Amino acid sequence: MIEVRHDAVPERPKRRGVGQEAKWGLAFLSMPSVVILFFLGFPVAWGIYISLTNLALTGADAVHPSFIGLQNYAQLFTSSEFWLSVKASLEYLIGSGLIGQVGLGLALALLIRRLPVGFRQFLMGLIVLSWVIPEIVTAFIWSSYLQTPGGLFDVVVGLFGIAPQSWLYRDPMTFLILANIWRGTAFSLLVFGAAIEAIPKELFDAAQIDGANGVAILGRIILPLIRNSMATALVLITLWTLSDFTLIYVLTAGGPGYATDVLPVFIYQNSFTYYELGYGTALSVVLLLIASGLSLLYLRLVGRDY
Amino acid sequence: MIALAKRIVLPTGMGIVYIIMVLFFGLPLLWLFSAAFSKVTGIAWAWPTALTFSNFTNVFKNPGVGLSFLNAGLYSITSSLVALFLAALAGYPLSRFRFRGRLAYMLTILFITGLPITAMIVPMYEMFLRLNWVNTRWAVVLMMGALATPISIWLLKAFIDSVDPALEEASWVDGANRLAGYFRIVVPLMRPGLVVVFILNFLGSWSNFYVPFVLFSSTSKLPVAVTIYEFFGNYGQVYYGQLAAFSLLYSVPVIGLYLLSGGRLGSTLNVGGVKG
Repeated sequence: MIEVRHDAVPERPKRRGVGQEAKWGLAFLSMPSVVILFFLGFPVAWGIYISLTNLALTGADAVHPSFIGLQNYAQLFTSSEFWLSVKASLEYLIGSGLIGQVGLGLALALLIRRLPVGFRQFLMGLIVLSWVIPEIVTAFIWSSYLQTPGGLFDVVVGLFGIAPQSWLYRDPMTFLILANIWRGTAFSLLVFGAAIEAIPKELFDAAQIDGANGVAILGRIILPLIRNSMATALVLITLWTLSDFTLIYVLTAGGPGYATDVLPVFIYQNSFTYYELGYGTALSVVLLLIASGLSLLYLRLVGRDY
Repeated sequence: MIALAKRIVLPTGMGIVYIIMVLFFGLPLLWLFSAAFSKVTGIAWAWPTALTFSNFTNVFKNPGVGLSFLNAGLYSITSSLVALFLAALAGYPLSRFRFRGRLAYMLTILFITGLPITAMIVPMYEMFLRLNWVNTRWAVVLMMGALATPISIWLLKAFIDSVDPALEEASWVDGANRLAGYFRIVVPLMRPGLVVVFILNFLGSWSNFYVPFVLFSSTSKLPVAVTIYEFFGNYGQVYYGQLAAFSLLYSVPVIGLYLLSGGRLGSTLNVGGVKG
């Protein structure tokens, strides 16, 4: 892997020994590579193996797991809970990631530039603060905010004559989605804001002279020119949303029923509540495959410059 | 007529949207700040009538809270340093040499940054179980450091690129080898980059709940992220003010570091792949 290609060092041809480079390259890369392989690569490979066994956290199967082939996967794909979990994950992804963070982020990026500076800074401050605070704190904030009776949310909607209710029980997914939009919108807003800022002003002026309206400017100038940022933000937000655990675990723990039992929470329950490590790992492998596909997509978007 | 509509309706529409956005993002934060500084205890929300700091002092009366801040600081600093050191090592040949497989290495690193920890934690736990590492501080620190390494390599490489190779080449003439030349000449020059990557890693570790939640079992080793969760489970429904104060205390380092790094954090994230 660290072999040196002689013809590939054109910038500084008077280099001392290219073999030297290979040696030093190897020396520099060895320690980080070993650590990454051991702590990240090995668990993935090991996980694929465990997913083919009936390993449990306690009992006989914890000591002597037996190889059961694809049985975990067969069980998984025929289990209705698994499909409910996939459904919850998709709802969460589409609602909070795609429509919420990407959609609202773009809308806000467009809106916010037209605000007077003071107003803009105030709103940006609130949004960025919501993003910076640790996720577990976000979970507490929303849990208390939606507390019923007497939570601040109840007080506010009460002004409009809406009776207090147990929001996280009545409509758990909607409120999880709102909480995650609250937490994550800053990222896409910052990315889109920077991309729109980078568009040459002359383009807007020219369009205005040609009499283009707002929709045309958005569709013909802004969206085409920020599509790279958009694609990257889409992939990253999809990856992060699909693997989100903390917010959901603290707010609803997957319930009520399986209404919000997204894959990461489902994996946690099977592995550490029901002690079925083999089955939980098979689920992890499925999530890993989905994430790998998305990660490859991300590579194609970012890696093409290298 | 149209001009009138544009002058009045459009700003009014924007005004309404603006107010909705301020309420949506602001109200949950209002709870956090008012509950933390308010004397009012109990679940029902009320406007704070008098300012108090007793919630903050009371938080530390709970056993283990002070220790958990120390733990979190220890884990965040050491794991960030581990990641920084490994990334500084790997970043150098990736920036300076043109070896076969360099691109593949870079792309593999980027690929790994996309893999979610929630999909890897179960086999990681299994591995820790076998090696008898569950509840071992240094092992968890190494794991958190390893998790932060791929993105750090990717970010630091960009900073190494910006240091002129002629500077370290001069040092080889003086008899220093590449390793010494690198750490004596290049590393000090990319201090701003090291600081930014360190801050990013620190923020990540400080906020990390899942890894210590699964890999630690004894209370005395838990970082704030987990202690605050247990506090929430045990007393959170009762002592709202304390939970809010605890949350604020826990968020202060994160907010502070973010402000301290200013705009640089955002531009570094851009180097890391989010390109226009």
